[in-house]
Amino acid sequence: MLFAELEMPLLPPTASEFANDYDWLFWYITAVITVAGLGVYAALAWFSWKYMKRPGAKPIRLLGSHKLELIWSVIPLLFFLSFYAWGIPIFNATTKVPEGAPEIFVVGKQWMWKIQHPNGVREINELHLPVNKAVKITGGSEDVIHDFGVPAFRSKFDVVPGRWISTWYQPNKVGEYHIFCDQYCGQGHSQMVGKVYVMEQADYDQWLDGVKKTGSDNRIADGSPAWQGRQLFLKLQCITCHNNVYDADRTNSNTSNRAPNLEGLYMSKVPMSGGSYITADENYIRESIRNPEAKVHDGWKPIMPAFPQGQVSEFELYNLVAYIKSLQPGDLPRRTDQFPAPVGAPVKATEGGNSK
Amino acid sequence: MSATATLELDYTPQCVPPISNEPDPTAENYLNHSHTWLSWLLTVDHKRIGIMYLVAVTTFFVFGGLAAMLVRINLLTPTGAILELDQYNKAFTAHGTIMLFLFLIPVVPGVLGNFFVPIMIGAKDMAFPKLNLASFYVYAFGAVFFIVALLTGGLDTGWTFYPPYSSKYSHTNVLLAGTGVFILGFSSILTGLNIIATVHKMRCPGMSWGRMPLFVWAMYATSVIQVLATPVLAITVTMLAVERIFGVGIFDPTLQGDPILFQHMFWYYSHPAVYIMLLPGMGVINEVLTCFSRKNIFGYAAVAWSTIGIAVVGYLVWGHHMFLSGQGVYLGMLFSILTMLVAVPSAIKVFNWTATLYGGTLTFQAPMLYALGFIALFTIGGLTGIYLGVMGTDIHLHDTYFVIAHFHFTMVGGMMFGWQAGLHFWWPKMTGKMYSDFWSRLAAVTTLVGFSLTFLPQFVLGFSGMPRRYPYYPPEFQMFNILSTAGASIQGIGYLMPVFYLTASLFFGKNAGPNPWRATGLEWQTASPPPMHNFDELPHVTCGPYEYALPSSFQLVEASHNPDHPGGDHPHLVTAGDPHGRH
Repeated sequence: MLFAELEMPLLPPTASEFANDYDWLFWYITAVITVAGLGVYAALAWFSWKYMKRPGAKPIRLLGSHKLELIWSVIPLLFFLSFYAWGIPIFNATTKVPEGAPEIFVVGKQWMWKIQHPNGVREINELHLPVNKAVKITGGSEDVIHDFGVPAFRSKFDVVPGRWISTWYQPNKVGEYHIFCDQYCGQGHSQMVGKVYVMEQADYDQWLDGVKKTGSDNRIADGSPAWQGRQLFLKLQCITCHNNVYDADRTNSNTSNRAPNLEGLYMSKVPMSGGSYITADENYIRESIRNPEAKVHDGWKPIMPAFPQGQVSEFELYNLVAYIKSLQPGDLPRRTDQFPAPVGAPVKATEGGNSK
Repeated sequence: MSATATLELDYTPQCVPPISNEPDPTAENYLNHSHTWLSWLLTVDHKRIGIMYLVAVTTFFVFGGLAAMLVRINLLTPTGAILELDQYNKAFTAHGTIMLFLFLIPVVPGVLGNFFVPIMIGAKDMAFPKLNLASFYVYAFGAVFFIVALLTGGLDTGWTFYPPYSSKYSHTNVLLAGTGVFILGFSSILTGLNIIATVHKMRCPGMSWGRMPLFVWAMYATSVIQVLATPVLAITVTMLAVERIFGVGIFDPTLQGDPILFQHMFWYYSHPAVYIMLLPGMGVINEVLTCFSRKNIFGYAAVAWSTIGIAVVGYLVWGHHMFLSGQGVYLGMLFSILTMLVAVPSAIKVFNWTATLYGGTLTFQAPMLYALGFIALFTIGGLTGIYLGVMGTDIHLHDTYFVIAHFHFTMVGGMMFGWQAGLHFWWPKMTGKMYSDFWSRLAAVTTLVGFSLTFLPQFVLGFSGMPRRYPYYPPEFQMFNILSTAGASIQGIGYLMPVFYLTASLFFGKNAGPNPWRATGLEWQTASPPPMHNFDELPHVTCGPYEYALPSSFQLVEASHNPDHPGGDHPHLVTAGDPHGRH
């Protein structure tokens, strides 16, 4: 009652299924340690009163008890292990993104959150989500370490420069929730906050419509990240080396092909010199653009130029990687396709392949 | 052969009988044997060095406390009551760095460790008295860098120095402060080295490992951590400096560095460092609890080994600060289970302390009140740490006020209360004067109340999601921040009171006598303040450290010619040696 009048509930809102799962573990631990803590307090209070110095009282000479030591080592340990065991699936749940969840890309920079939806709509410090739909959230940073936290979802992950880290949400309650930057990032750290708006599907569609119609100039009104990535792939002349014109591989030294074909690269095993393999996940592809010499495909020369942040922003990098991830055999454009379709053309990456 | 002698008790020391029963008040002691400035500044007497540390750390505590007050006052309103954003960042960084590097790490090892480890093991001084003085000056030298850094523009990285913010983006005195940390580390290493050597080589006859006071065990374990972990911190800040000055890519990802590497290296030191801060406080509690409940410690071996257990396993849990950094699930699982293991020895200690009260005759002077406060607050601090060590629950609580509340319950509720307990317990020994009983008890209660009011609301704030290091916060968090600031004010008064009544005791306090608490340790078997070389004659230890519950009159039995016989590893009643034949 009191706290309601002061406008802060004692407990934060729960707005996702995960938040409920999280809270069960939280209250389980709370229950156990409350009992344990009160037990210690009761013993302290009782002993303090009972054995307070009184005339004629003599202390007993008591050195210890192996049995008791054993009991109060093993029982707490068992409880600790139960917390630990329960904590693992909770933590793992945050990393296991449901199949087919659309991916939202979040870029942290001093001191704002820039967010890109799968359809190319971008927003700043605001995240609109439809209720009861799972979404994947991937974060990257343009400068220092940030942390994208949404207390109502009991979700938080560090946004670290030089790599992407993902989690996911499935909001289940319409409402307005805080976004906080939880990792200290300098002067405006406490202003690096925003709001998540969880909306009914109909409202969400309406919002999306509105954004599309009124999309401001730096917002690409349409076009998936992969589609935008394709434009970049051509613009940056990646196609000059990474092409499939000669259908070449490294055994055919007569070709002019200087770089591996990227079709079907995503999640394939890339051989390194020395016989080991690396799975070409997002972070591998990302690193191979920013710093191509770090992990070179065995047999190819380390000749690719690096593309630092000044040349390819974190968003552009994400879009490029999204395009490369989408490439299936036969998808790469011809070198003659260098002139990209006009911005706004409703072309999907997977359809942009071998069209003449 | 067997000889017996009857001993009347009030009270029994580790060595039977006491070395000097009737100290001459006019006798020469470590304080009055010379008065010049140089006799203090160039002293190699561990007791005087301890007093110099006391003055230094108290000064820094005042500054760190003032920075904390700035932070708390600023948080009274959701948009910052008094400070600009930059100023707030510098204030909380000043609070964190001063309290950790200049206060918490050196306070008990520097003051109580220096002063009492040699006396408690019956030695005349540290193993390396000159090195001891050197480590004080290294500390002072490092502190100068820190003070200059904080006064000439400040530092805004937080005490954690995370790159790439610290290596590239911060425009404040990272290098100066880093140099300070680097130098302070050596002071810590030298002190640790000295205590290890002292405990190994300087114990008096009969002082077997099993008869050492648990405070000495705690200082020993702390010293091992200091010697082994601190070099990693020095390496880490050196690498940070190399990156900041020369632009070599170590931690900066745009230079192919890895920012997570810094976190691994930093916490490899800084997690053991929280045990450097905590274990000495735990050590003090053993001395105080036993004395004021007139009991043997419950489970001497369990407490001693749990100290060692914390020190060893504490090395292997650093990654629990990094569950969300992208270090990976499997690494997280490893660090999480090790964290569960390191929680067990802490639990054992709390249970043993509680059991120590059972069947005693308890009195509640200030040291005892602080010690009971320690147990009460450390229990909360330890238990709330579980949420942060379990991977699942850490997600939501990481980097929120929950973490702030948790570590203040361990660092302040633990170490600060341990330090106050120790200071009040040994003040009569260090100065020869007794302070006001009333004011000291009032201070203990005030601090406890103020502390609880400060940090309990922060658990609620943290679970509601309020991030740490936020000068601006959503308005619904204001109520709990006001409560917290109100508590901090009360707490501040609780810390100020000892400054006055302890200082007053120097001038107006009545003479304490050699053993005002009727305690058992060797330090109570010599005059207060102790003579220059601690003991007039070499002590000869004949029993365990906490024989408070012996019958008031009993037979000393000579059981063996060898005072270090195997049975000496357990506290035992039967004592060895002819009390009249010692030297």
